[in-house]
Amino acid sequence: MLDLMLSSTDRELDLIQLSALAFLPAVFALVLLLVPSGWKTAMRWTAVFGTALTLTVGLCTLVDYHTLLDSRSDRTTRSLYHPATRLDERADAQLAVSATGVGSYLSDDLVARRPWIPRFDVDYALGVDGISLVLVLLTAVVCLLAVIASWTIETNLRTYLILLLTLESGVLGAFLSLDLFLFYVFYEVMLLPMYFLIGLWGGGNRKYAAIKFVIYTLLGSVGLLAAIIALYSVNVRDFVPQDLVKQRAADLKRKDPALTDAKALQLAEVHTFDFVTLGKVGRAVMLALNHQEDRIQVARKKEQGTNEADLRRDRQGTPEPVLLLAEGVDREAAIARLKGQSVCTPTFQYVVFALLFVGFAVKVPIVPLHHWLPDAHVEAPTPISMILAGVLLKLGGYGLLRFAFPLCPWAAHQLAWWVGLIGVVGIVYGALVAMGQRDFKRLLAYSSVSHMGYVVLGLASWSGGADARYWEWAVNGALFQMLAHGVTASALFFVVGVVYDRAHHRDLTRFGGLKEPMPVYSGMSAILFFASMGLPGLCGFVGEFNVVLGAWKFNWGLAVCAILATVLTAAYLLWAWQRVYLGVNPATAAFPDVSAREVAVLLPFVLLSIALGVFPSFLVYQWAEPSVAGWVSQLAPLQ
Amino acid sequence: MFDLSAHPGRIYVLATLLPLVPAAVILLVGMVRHLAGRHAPTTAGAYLSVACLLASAGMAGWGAVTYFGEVERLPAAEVEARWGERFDWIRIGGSVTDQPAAVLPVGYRIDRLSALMFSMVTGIGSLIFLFALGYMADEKKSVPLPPQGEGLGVGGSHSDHSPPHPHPLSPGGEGSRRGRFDRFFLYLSLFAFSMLNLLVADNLFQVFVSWELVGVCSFFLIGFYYERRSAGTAANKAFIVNRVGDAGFLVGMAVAFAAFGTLNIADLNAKFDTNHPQDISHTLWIVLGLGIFLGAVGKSAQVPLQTWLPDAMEGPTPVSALIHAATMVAAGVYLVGRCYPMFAPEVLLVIAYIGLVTLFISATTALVMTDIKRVLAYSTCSQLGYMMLALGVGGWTAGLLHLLTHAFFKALLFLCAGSVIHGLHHEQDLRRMGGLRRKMPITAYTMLVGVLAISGAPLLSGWYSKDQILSSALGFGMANTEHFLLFVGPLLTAALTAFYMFRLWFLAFGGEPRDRKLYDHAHESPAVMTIPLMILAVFSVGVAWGWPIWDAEASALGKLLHAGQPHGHGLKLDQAHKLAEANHLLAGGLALAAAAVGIGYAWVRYGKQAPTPAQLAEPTGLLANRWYFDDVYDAAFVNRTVDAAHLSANVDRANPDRKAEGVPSLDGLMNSAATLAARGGDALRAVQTGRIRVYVLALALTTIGLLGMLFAFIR
Amino acid sequence: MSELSLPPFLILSAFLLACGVFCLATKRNAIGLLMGVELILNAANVNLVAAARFVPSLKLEGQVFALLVVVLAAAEAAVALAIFLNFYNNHATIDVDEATDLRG
Repeated sequence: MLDLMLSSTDRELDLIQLSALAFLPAVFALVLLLVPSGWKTAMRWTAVFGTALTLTVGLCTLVDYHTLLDSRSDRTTRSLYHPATRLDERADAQLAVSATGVGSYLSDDLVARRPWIPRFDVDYALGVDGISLVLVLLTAVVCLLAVIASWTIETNLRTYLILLLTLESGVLGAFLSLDLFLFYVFYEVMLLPMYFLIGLWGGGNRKYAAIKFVIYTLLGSVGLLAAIIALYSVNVRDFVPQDLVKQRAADLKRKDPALTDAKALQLAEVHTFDFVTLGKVGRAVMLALNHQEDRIQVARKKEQGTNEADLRRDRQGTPEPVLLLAEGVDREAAIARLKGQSVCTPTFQYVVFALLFVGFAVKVPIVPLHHWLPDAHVEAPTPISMILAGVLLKLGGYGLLRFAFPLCPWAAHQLAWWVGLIGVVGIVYGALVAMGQRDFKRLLAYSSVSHMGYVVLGLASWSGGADARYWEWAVNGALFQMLAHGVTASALFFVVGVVYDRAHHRDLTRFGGLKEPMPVYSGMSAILFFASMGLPGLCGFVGEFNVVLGAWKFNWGLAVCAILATVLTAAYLLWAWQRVYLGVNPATAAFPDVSAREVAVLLPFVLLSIALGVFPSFLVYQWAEPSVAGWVSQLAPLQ
Repeated sequence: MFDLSAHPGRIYVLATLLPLVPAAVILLVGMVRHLAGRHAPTTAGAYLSVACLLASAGMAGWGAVTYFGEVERLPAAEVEARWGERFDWIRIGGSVTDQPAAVLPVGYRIDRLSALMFSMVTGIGSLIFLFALGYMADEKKSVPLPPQGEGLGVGGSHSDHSPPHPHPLSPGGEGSRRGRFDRFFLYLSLFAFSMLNLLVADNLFQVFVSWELVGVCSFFLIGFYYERRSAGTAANKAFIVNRVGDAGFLVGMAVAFAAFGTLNIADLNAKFDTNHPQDISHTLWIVLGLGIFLGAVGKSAQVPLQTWLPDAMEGPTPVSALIHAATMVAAGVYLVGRCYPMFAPEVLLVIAYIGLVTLFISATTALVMTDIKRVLAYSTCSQLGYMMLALGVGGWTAGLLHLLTHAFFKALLFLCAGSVIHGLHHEQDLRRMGGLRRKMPITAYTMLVGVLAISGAPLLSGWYSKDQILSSALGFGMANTEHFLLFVGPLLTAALTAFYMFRLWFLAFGGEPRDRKLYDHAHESPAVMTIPLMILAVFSVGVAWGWPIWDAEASALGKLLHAGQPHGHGLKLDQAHKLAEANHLLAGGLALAAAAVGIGYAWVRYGKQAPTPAQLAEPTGLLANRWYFDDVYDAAFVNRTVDAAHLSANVDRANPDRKAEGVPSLDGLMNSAATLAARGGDALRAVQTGRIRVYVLALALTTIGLLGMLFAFIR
Repeated sequence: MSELSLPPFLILSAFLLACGVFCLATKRNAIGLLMGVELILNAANVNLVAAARFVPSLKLEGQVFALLVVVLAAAEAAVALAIFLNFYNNHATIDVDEATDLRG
């Protein structure tokens, strides 16, 4: 693989760029191994440099992605969407090259794929689209600020920083991978550093919290693994380039010369971990299970200027066809083969969706499976809480968005209302329990549960047909809510860390009067509290508002519950604000205001929350929305 | 960008954005200075704020003059183009499906109502900012904290369940705090920006954004003296009660967006121009109207969400004057006026009745209040009820005219109260005042003007608007006789209004001083505070004048508003309007009689002779307890929610501090899987005895068993 | 005496095995365990030799195997005795019920 990367005829720059994005933190972790033990400042600055470099690469990727979108977009519409820049289109092109060796790798399509373990059809596949790029940038920013916040860690500093950087690598890799196996590897890579980070540098009950975190997440991961293997077992020969099928047939014939060519072709099977292909299978299954098989059509050759609008116009009046099967495939045989497989049964779909959903929902977290969160957040040290709240929770939402819904759309559609209900229960339950907490950090942990409920609700608001734009609206809101919550939750955990450094407790009933000795700190905290509360003009509002508007069309009851929960959110946050900042308390009157380092961590968060709240379209939506549009456009017409 | 010849409406955009400049300056300079260690507040930011708002007022004036000139001359379409613009803030979709993009726009639109409101807000705002320069002067240096025991708050709220902690102040005396002069103007400037944004917004989304922003500014201003626990609680209460209203507003917006795909006010109004709107069922129409109205109920402190306004008097008096009298609370009435065609007839009836209930309950409560600001707060509530009632019975012009006149005389009344409080060194109890007209003549007589205006004395501004309200109500009551209460209620309450306002004046300024020491130390306020009083008094007299000035219907302002009246859906509206016209003089005469009765009775009880000790006793009973609204809400909602929160918290995870009160915890349930595994492991451990003989036996038995199975299969 | 056949020897071997297993399972003395093990091994020897004698296709395999078993038994007894000696040095007893260090 390395020689492929470096050979001059085959150099694919985006492979290097995306690999760098994923592995730079790990490289710097290795560099840290070489730094002598006593040089603590050097270690810290190395880590800062590493995360800053990762952020820079991320921003370069953003610029590249924006250029990519811009180069293909239709200037007449105000949106940057174009079917050719969708992730699955780009990934398919790379799959063709990687699998059959036909064609060449493109350097600027921001998808990179190389065979990794050919025996098991595992590819080293990395790629970005708007959805993952939002979260990659969030990760880079939060990890950089977490490293700066880690300045006060003294014991075993090198181990700590290595673990943190490895964690960042794992998360970035998970966001960037296009192959289910690779994704699973990165998903598991995150667990172990987290266990040690909580278990060694945490608070009083850290061992319990760490083991609880690992076991809950592993439970979900095991389900995930089962689902991935179940999906691997599907024969996807009709959805991949037919050259690959011919190759497999040739392999079969080589092993067993007795077979005729035709028989070998008939018996050839292709399995894959590539989620784009599996997504096509999922959609075909949905059409088949809904008795709409006649909509499954074979893809046309890519002609100049053809786009979906033209295709739609060609077929006026008939139900819209969905181009899933690969070129050159016999449609009838393919559909018969699909129906003959176990993947095309409701049981398979429900079970796999449930496994995927539970696997990711543990991380979101949804309500019955959220108990690891308060313990992990409270016991973890401040920078780790920041990363946990800001980044790791988003993996759950990302998994639902990227894997659970597109791979099993039929089951997702059947269960959409239940998923929405789970989201709303999370919102209301999280808010109520947060109100009853005495520990500041625990209150924030439950508020995270509450805010992530909006993400689940947004994803679940499946409205089809002409109302698909409301679903698009809701999913955009869910994506933005993930970003906004990442910013505000990380910042608020640091806010708690600042006051914990001074008071050495987190009991809300013993605080009070912080506004007088710490006015700058209180000002910044005020902005973050109100951002968390969903005040318009700050980042937390945009996502919530979009989700509510989109969810109304889906089910007004769920939307009304979500709206009423905003009152609860304001109530517990303002009550916490009053108990901590207002009033007079001689115990806190001597606290020093924020230091330069603390301002260096808080100020970017504050500025981000204001900027994202005032310019969401310019900063995020213009380049993230096309991906969501593509996502919805693939699923909504299937209804 | 500011191409005023093609888009003169942009002057309003500039006027709206201008107050952000001093806010940003104060924020940045303050932060840098604090981090550098210099904690004393600066004053330059305050002067900058005043200057910017005066500039905005000037621009608003120019804009109003230009607009009213153009709207007469030019065709409507051209006026729309010149005085309104919008651009997309969030735009999603529009390329994938064949549907148009879903857009949340930002824009402005000037029409008669918004031009008048903008000028009113900037004008009154400038005067109040000037007043605040004098009133808040003692915040320029360190302020002593009140001695312990007087309402010091140490976090928590009144329904906190934890045991009380005693927190005595250290005797060495850290009994003072830093001044907050600059912060006051920071919040005021932010508020000015938000309020002006609300006025010029052309779509419900932008209104909602400004709605919440003014709520936040109000939160910080009510909780300005945050060392007092009551201030923090009042700020929380205001924000949360407003949030309930905002939830309703969100529901209304969601219905509108789902049904029409747009939130633009003019577009939505156009859809409801006829009496039978398409695209939306009647039930949904009612829900839409009720949702938007619920937002207005929260913001304008109508029943049942009125409990936050009296508590909001914790804030400094200029705040009460600006936010809780003239502008923010007016936003609810303004919204109802702007969205008038969106309300179904049933909803308009609900609006009228809620207005009726509010105006009555608040007026009766004001009768017994002893704090000068509380009386004015309840009076504000009551007058807002008048405005809502007027809007509900089809008197669009009457309600909004009252909004404009009320802003002037209520601001005047509050500023006079502020002047009194300032002059008496922060004494607010009416029972300890008396005879102040000799020590503070300017304050006393400008306040008399305000009191006369609110009571509806002829030829003062309040008379014109009250007259129109009552005649609209009479017309509606005569057209729909089953709703005649909607006329009788306001009429009776007019008497109550006159009574309690004159009671206020007589207790504060009339008679002889009841607290000699207080009286001796009283002094008139400095010029920076009395000049706004005098200007406002002039406006309170003449702002609604028209020609001839004795004809209530000839008000110039009223005519300007009337030209912009939208189509309403009230019951038998045309008939009501005709009857209102016909019986105008009757209504006016009855109103005058009611006012006279109120004033006369107040004179008899408080003016003619000194009040008796019985009259000065602490009031008790239903009225003094604000009709028990606070108590009911506390018991039914606040305490229940906190209980539910504690229950949920315990259900979620057993609280290690208190032993589980018999409630199994969810966390325990999930951990039970782990516990089961652990116990199972423990149980299985018993097999591994470590004793060889047991192992040997097990080996032997297993071998026999396996062999047996093997032979069974072979058989 | 009737012609000798295989079954009696197998019965003898089984009986010896049973005795050996019983001894192994019930003796508390470590040396007693070793006796049980010897009994089992000798039972196997009897079985092997008898099989070699009475099964036509086997020639010498059984006897050779029996010799191997004897050697192994000796070696294993030596090792076992060494372990028991060490155990006695640490625990001052050779009661196998005291050897519970590996309990779960």
